[in-house]
Amino acid sequence: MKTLKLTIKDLDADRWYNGPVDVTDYDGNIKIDAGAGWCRFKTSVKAAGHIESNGSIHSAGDINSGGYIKSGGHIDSSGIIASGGDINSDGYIDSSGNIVSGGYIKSRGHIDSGCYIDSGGYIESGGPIFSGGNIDSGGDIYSDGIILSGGSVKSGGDIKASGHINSGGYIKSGGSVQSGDFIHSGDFIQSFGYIDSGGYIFSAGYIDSGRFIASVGYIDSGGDINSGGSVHSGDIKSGGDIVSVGGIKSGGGPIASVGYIDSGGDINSGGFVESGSSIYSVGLVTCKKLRSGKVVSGELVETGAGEGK
Amino acid sequence: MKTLKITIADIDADGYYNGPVDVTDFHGNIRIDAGAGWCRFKSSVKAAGYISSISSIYAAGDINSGDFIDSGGNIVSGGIIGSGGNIHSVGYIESGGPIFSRGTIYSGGHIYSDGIILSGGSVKSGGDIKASGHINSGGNINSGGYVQSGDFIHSGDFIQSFGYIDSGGYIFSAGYIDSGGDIKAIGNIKFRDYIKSRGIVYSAQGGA
Repeated sequence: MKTLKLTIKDLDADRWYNGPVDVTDYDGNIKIDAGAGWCRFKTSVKAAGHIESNGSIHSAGDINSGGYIKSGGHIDSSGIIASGGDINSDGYIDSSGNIVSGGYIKSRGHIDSGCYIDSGGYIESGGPIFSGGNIDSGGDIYSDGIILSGGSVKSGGDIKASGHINSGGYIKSGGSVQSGDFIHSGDFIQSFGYIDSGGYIFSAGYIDSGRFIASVGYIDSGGDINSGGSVHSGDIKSGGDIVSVGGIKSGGGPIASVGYIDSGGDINSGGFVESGSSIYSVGLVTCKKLRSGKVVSGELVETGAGEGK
Repeated sequence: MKTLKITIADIDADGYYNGPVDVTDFHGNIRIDAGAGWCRFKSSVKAAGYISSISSIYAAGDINSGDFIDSGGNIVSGGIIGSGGNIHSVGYIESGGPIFSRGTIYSGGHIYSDGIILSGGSVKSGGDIKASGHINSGGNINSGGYVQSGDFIHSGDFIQSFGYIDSGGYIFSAGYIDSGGDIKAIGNIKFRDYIKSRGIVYSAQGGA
């Protein structure tokens, strides 16, 4: 496949491309070697092969590549960014439209899409990940910042953020979900691995985890809480059942469930326990007061001075 | 990063920008100093850096910035308002599409969006906050008027409203909910601190 090489000679004084070759539909690779600054296009850029640049790339239209897109600086588009291969940037990746990649998406800065982000591989960002729509990744999603999505967040692997994870839709992970601050889901949260939050966990729907669920704050679910391990939080509230293969433990707060509570270990609450149905525990049910529900299995230990109803 | 300065010389008799520079995709900051009236654009306005104006801004299309958007008047867009930083307006903010901010959104007047309001930080307004979609704030929501949404309202901190709060979905506040009027939700109403209303509190599904 032929390669179009663009150099500083193909750029005007403002670093806009003014070369002789039409790059809106180039049947080959495009390689830009125009120094560390910007290479700007007043049109869309499309290559049947890869697009590679030593510096930053900007397009007033789309950036579209049949192969990978690689930049030693930023990648910035007023349209969409679409790649048949990986998208790799030493700076940020910013698009007014979708960001779509057949491979991974990797950025040392932020990743920002005015629409959705769809990646066949992992998504890794040195800054926040922001999407006006869904975020969908075939691999892990990692952000050294917040993950903020107007739609859902879906990952074939882990979802990890040093800040909060805030999703207007569901959060679904083939691995674990971990955040340095709160996790909010406008729908359900489903994780094949653990769920670990540095703040609260709020889910409008159910919370389903293959391993433990842990929160520095509280856990509040509009539906069932289902854990393959333990559930550990400041307090735990469920609009449905709470089911845990391990123990269920709340710090100083209550454990409250509209439905039943079923624990493969102890149930230990620093406050009261409240259930709209039965309580099943392999071990002890320790709380200040059992406010409602009936302990069907396990031994109830009330320590007294529970919160009044 | 270079800065495009738009002055009264770039504005026509109807208040529309007619300067020589294409602002639909400007690779720098845009600073507007065109007097106390409106600076109107017949197209979208996009800046890789910030957009700052001492007066009101109107765009028939989107208003997009890689950094903050700051207006000494109002901000009105026929499409999206999107900012990589804060959005700060002394007057009102109106958008024909969603409003996105990786930082905070502050308006001295109302905030209207014909879409979602999505903010990494807090949302504060001197007037009403209204969205046809959800309102999702990583920080607090503080309204000098009512708060109304077509879908859920989520606040990573408190919700304070001088008027009513009306949600087409659930209401979740990581702090208190304080309303000068009714608090209504099609879904649950959930809060971590207190709830205070001068009117009725109504949820189709309950609260906790």
